[in-house]
Amino acid sequence: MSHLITAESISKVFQSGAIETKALDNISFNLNNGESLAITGASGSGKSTLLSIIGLLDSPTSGALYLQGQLVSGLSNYQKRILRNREIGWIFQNFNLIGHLDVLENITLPLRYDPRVSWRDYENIGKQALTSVGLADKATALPQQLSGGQQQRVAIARALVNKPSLILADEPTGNLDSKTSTNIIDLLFTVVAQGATLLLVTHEPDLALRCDSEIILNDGLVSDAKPPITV
Amino acid sequence: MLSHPLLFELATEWRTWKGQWFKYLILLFGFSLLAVLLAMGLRIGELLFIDPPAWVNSDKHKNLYTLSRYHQKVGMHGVSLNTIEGLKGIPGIESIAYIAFRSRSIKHQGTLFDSTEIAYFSESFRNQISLKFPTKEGVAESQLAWVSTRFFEQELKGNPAVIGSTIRITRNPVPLIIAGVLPPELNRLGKNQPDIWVNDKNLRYHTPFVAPPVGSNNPEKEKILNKFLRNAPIYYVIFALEKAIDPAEIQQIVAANFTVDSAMTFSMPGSELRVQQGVVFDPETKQALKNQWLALLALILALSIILTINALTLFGGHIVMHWRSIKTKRILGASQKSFLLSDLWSLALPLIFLTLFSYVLLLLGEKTINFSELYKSFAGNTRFSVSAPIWAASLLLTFVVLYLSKAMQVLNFSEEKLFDRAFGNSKTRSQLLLADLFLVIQLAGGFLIASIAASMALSEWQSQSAVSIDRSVTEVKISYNGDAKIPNSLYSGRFPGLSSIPVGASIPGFQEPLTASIKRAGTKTSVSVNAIYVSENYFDLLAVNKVTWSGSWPNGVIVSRSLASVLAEKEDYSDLEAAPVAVKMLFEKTYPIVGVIDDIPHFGVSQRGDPMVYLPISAAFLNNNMALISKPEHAEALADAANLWAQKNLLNPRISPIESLDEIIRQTDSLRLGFLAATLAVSLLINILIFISISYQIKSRIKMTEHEYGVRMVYGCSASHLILVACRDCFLALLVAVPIATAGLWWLDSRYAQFLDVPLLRVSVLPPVVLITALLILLAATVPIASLLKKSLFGLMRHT
Ligand SMILES: Nc1ncnc2c1ncn2[C@@H]1O[C@H](COP(=O)(O)OP(=O)(O)OP(=O)(O)O)[C@@H](O)[C@H]1O
Ligand SMILES: [Mg+2]
Repeated sequence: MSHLITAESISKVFQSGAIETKALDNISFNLNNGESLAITGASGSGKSTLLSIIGLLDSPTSGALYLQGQLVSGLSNYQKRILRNREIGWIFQNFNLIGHLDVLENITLPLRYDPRVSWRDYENIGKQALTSVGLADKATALPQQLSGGQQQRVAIARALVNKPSLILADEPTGNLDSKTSTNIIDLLFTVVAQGATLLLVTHEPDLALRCDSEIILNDGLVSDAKPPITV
Repeated sequence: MLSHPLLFELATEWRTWKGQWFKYLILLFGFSLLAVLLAMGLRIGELLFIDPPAWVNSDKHKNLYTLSRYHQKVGMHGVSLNTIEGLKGIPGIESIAYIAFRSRSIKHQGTLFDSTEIAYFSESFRNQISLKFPTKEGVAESQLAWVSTRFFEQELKGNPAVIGSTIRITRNPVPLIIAGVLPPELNRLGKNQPDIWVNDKNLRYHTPFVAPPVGSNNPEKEKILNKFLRNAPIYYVIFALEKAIDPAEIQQIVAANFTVDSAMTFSMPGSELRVQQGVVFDPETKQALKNQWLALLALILALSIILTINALTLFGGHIVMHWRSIKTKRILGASQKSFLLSDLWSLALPLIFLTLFSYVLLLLGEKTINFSELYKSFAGNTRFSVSAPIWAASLLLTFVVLYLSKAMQVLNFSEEKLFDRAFGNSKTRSQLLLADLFLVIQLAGGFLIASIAASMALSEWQSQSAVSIDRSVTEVKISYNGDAKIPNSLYSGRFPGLSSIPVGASIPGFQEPLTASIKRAGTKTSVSVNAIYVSENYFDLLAVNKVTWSGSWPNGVIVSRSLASVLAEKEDYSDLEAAPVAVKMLFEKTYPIVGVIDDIPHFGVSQRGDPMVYLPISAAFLNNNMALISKPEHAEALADAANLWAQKNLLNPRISPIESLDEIIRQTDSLRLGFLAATLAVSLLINILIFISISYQIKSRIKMTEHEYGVRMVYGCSASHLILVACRDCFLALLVAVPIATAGLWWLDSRYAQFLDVPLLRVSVLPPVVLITALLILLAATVPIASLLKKSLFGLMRHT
């Protein structure tokens, strides 16, 4: 069977004026459906860059990326948008919740961009997602009124609401205390257990260990991978 | 939660405007105003260029022209039948109709109606304007009369029994039968307001000659009558052509064919033939309306530029403050289209406001126009109203501008830019340049309009305060038939039966001086002036300043300062003392100049420089009206005494209501004062819009760089320094805007000031306007900086 993600010698060079930064250098790996992968490495090693390329927020300078066997560089903006909307769930370190929307509204946003979903179902689907992260009673709260852990759980609910096959989490617990972190991570792995694929950027070795595999970036290069995955 | 997409967009959009809705409302108000002005501009344009006057039935004739004569001072007046003959040479002429207006007394069922205006129309006239007149079976048209709605309602008390009764026009041997009442549109044709309409065959009774009834055999008389009627320049002509021809060309043909009977020329020297497209009975009013229309168009243009920029900056600032949420939505899969749609939905509520505002403004605007003298004299009885389609179209157009200004912001956020991590922290150079350009345009526009308003207000104030007469003095006018013998006591300032009150008199009234020409004895060049006969105490009652005064008044004439400066050779007018001048009205008579006084605003404050000569009232002759003036506290008593005296001594006297000179002058100035008021209002509105927009721009810039301000504060930057940092761009823009605006002002002033009859640039207003602008900018920056200072530094620093 084909891999969910196949990265072939992906490189990313940022050009700002005369300065060239090689954020990613020849990265290759495969990831199967339902697996979890940790991406670790020092600050500035290119973790977020890699994630944003896989999440279709950016494109590689060279190399090829396949999602579900499709070559990403051959996709139109429209197709990329559809993929982002239906197949990818993003979770950020800083949550990226919209301040003037309440919790339920934030969660149902992805549904609003999916024409297959009728607006009459928004509320139900949203509430289910909210219940699954244990925040059923906070539906009408504004993000500012929640704690950091609660906000991240809202973000997770939002990432899951469209039942994506790929979850991208960029240091989801970076802003949280350790007890809350554990909660959040448990939640993420519950979803993986239900069949989703997880890409997790983290600094914490414990966390990386919970994943099926790990790649370690060092100045844009894969310096190590555990257990040895196809690199 | 509101699930439905439309409701969701509506509700969430309004949340993002929290604290900003007032600005939004002002912007919407501006757009409503624009929509209304546009609708009114379109309607006035239609009235000016497409619609015939209300009294012409429009759908039948297209190529209608008006032939008349035109004189610089007198304005439009009629042509002779001889001239009309000249029209017959025009190729493709279809029909010619004419109408003449004369003032006559008429008698109806024992009541005498003095000086009613009679319209004498040719057989073809009714046809030409396609209006149905009621007729009467078996009676020749020349024996019928039609009354205007106004005359019917006001003078005949709306009594339907008058139809079929007879009226008699003075000297007309044949009584006429009233055939019916004409539609109200015919109450007014240009400046003429005919009360009675009759066939032009009746004109033969209204020449200087006594005319026998039609059919009596007197060839000699008929010949003279015909000759007179052919040559009298009293006919306004409307003719129709098969195909449109340039009016100038027709004018030439008519002038070439024009013949006169040598013994009889009445035409005024200096008047010329004029052919105009359409039915035009009042070209001056039309021109004046056209000027105002052009001013309106300029205003619409200026307003739409300012408003568009305003909308762009408001929505731009708004999106800058919310770009993170847009980014998040894009990551979650929102399409460009969904943003464009949500922008459209989110404007649903604004559209309701827009419609409501503009409806109210439209009603106000229509009222104002209907109220204006200019419009009344242009359109007579037809009320000004904007049709629903024109209003809807204007509304739609402004809505589209509003929507595009909003939608453009989203289009700015292309996918690539949005996901670039550098985005949002710095703007691109072209964006900054555009923002600065907008700032300059707004500042220059606001500055320009404020300077114009200030210049106009300053000039008005100066000319009002230059008038040194006592404006509280009141006037009562008496008009009568024939001559009046002026009571001797008036020469010495007393009215018969009112010996304790000082009363002044003039012939004619304050505002209606006669025209005359004046020249210094022994010189050739004469000056045309306005003349008025006044009593000895006239100037004292008005408390007018005497520049030179010999004491021999009223044995001589008094001249106004502006006339004196034309006549005198010496700066101090000393050479005018007792200088003989020949004053020519009907006859020429020589008087010595016995004094010079300050200008009195007989024709309104702005025209106070029109040269005036004041003659002693004892020299007045052939008068049919006089005016009495007194201090306001004596006005009532004087009016009563005047009434008593007039009933006893005058023929058919009519006494006007008491009016103060202030009211009279104000009425004459009302057009200009109205224009000034409108300019001030517009300038205020535009400047409020610009102030709001600029303060919003400053605010959103501060918000975007909050972190930078935080860092500055951590290192001890003072509040005033922060304010200066926030205003930096605006001050630079002001520095660029002021010279641009000043150049624009200078150009406008040199081109249009004369044409609009108001100065647009007074240099002395510029420094205060610059100062006020700078203070407003400081204010605009102070408010957001003050609220920034209230925030916790920690919060500012953490929030990147
Ligand atoms: N838009 C950009 N322009 C220029 N250089 C960039 C840009 N984005 C990232 N980089 C550079 O690319 C490199 C990788 O950055 P990236 O954000 O992927 O690191 P990271 O591993 O996520 O670090 P951290 O753990 O601190 O989040 C860095 O050297 C960074 O300076
Ligand atoms: Mg990172």
